[in-house]
Amino acid sequence: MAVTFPLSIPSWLKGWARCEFDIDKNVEIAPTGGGDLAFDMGNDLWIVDYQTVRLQPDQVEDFRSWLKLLEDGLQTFWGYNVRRPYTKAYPNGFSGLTKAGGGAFTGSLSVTAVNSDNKTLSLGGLPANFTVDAGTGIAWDYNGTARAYHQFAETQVSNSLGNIAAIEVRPFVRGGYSLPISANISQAMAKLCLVPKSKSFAGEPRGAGSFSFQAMQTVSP
Amino acid sequence: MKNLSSAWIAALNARQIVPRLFVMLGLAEGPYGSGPYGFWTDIGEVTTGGITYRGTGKSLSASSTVGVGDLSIPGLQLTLSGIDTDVMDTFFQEDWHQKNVTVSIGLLSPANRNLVDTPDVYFDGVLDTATLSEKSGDKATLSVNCEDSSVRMTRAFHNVRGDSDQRDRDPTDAFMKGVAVAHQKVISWGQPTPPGFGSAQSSYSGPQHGQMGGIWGSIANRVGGRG
Repeated sequence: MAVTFPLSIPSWLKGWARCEFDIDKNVEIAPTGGGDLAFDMGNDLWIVDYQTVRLQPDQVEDFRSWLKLLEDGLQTFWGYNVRRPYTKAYPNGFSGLTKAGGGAFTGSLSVTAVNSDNKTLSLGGLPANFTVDAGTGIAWDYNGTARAYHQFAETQVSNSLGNIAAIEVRPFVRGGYSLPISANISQAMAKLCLVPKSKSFAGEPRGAGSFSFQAMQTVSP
Repeated sequence: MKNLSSAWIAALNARQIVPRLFVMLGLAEGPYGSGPYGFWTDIGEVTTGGITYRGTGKSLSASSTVGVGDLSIPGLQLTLSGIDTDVMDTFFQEDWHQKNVTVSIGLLSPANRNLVDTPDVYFDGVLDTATLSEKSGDKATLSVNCEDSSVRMTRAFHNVRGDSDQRDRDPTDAFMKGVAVAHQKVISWGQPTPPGFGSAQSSYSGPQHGQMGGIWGSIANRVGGRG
């Protein structure tokens, strides 16, 4: 059967020893007599440091095959922040929650407005009095199959109607979306590709070991 | 001196600068090519000046432009790297040679990441040579050498700054009519006008002092023709 991309993380993988989601900032500061000059040269893409847990020899080969499919950056996979896949109050998922307007809450919500500052969102479709935490991810598709991935930069609680009037995210929201945006905060996935030549294998006697690699967000369709 | 808009000056004075490069390739239009194509060193698309710029992230770079004192006119090299070879090859399917290229700097607002003003052009030239380099198992790099449009000033043309060429442009334009004799004119500073000045030492057969119009007549009158 043909493999379709983006790939998902292999379901048999029991977890990650390390998974660091962070924005690849590139800011330079030039001290001057009149005050510091700050240059922001970066593109604000997410970069993720991955290290698998210790894999058994068979798993090593299975995972190596999965990495091969990614062709050192040419192909993509879905990745989420395993340290905060949902919210603090619901670390294992939103099962059993009900939206303020009725119906089960699965993590899907609506971004009803993007402020002109391109970093403040208005949310709807949440349960009443639901806490959205700083660090929780939110993702949506735009421009066809391009994937936006942001993280909340502050904690806010929804009102009785399940709305949050204003909550900041980072990085800044890029153009190309249409309101209202159908978004997701349940294991919000970013579209990632391998950073070329970043993968390495730490082997042990008898064939076990763990893989480390870096992945970078792509906003290509 | 370069004039910057008030929006630019305000953005620079804020001391939080978010600069991006904007490169516009004026590829051939119609049946010969895709038309103008823009890249910028960020993510996603942005439209400014009627051109939609595609995001290239860090894949696009431009060499620095330098000021020189020997009257030479340095060019500029654009490099697009980390792209699949098949994609790079599409460049060579375009009619690109000697087509216009501009490199501009745009400033984004640190508050909302929108352009504060139209990007400012700092290089305007033409696409001169292009090379595609690739290594086995690696992605390709496209390098384009661009020639500054100022190079035109160093080229020799058959036209000269003389009366006949000026009349070719406009038969009534007599601005250059005295050029042919201006270099033969003897100008005697601070002494009486030599005998025969203006006839014996000049082969000029046109109007004499006082009859010359414009600036030439004025000069002649001041420096000797009327003593």
